[in-house]
Amino acid sequence: MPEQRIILLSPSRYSKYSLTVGELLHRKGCTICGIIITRLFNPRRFIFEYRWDSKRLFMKIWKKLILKDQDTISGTVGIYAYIKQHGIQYKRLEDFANKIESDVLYCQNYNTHTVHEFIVKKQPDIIVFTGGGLIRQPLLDISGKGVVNCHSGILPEYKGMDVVEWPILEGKKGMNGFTVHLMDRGIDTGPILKIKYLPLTDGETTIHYRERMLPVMAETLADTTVKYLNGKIVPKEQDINYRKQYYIMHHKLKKKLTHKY
Amino acid sequence: MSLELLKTFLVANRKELIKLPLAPFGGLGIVLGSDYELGFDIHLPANEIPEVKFRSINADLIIYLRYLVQTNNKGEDVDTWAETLLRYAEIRKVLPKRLIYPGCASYKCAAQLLVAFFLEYYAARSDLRFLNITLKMNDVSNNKRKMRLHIDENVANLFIARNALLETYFMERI
Repeated sequence: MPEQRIILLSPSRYSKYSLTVGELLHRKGCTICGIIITRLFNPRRFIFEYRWDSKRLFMKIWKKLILKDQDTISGTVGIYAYIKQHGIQYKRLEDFANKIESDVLYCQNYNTHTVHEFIVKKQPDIIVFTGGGLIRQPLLDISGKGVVNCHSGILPEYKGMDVVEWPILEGKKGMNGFTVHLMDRGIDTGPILKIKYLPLTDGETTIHYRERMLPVMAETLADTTVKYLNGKIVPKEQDINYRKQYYIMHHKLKKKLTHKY
Repeated sequence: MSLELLKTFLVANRKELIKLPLAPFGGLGIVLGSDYELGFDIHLPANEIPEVKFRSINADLIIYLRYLVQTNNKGEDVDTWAETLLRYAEIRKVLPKRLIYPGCASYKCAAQLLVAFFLEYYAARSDLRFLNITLKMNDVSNNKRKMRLHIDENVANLFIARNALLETYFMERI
């Protein structure tokens, strides 16, 4: 098998999800030739994310930076527990990059000239996206076999935001899961590589479910990326008839979810 | 605000409300009973639904779309417009209201005209995304808390009461 060169895109140097995906890809024999990290303290990013998340952004900051995003379910199934169980000992992505002798680039957002030059120089076979903003067409054009992303909803039915909550509210609990897909110009509209259904267990809340889902997502993303690179998975175009886009759920509707678990 | 209070208010001010050009009682039959379902005594545009374009959005269009939804029109055009308006309302936030404002009594009123359409579309199609946007739009303008229940207040407040009634009714039934 020829050496597979991968660039990892991460929303933060502390992202445990990015770290897990990177480590798993490394263990599968891929070469992480570069890691691009978006800066946390960046006014433009703040404005962009505030437009996207509105008041929920403050909750995110509180949870991720102040509470350090620890698993809340007694550390048995979340990403922190997974990291411990699999001996991933790095605190930050830079530590991981040093270990595997990979270059790290910090950026304000992914669609800058610096990022473009970095990717052209590295000539990756594929880019793995683990969060951190939108990606524009020029970057998609130089991404080799594409940019792979793992969306936390089932595509093409559940595009957009809060796609863990929406199926529950609509009474379709069986439609919970995630999708690994290639990114394109639209939001969650790219060709599908793998769909994994992961139903909620009885009485499980969405917070618990998201924690449980994260390590499974990281494993599936790494696994699917390698299989796609080896030609074992063929991307499948999405049905264009599904035009529904979901947006952030209002807190009053979220309260109604408690009756549906 | 309780459902009963809103009902009483709307029924008491019915004579004033039906004079409004925005068909405030259209779609309210579901809550108030068929006696109060006065339908659309308004001038509907003669043309067909315009092509889905941002510039085509105006008060007449929204009223016409409401009429089509309430008369159980299953046309694809209505669904496409509903999806487009939802996207504009979610992402561009204030722009659709700004566009339909010239046909309405006030800017607040323009917002409530959109809310009315989304609520009626939700009633017809049971698509929860449309109830979601009405909750958000009412949060943004913070209308309900500022509202004073007096008939001399502007048209928007009456319309807000009407939408609040429907919204509360639907929220209780999820």
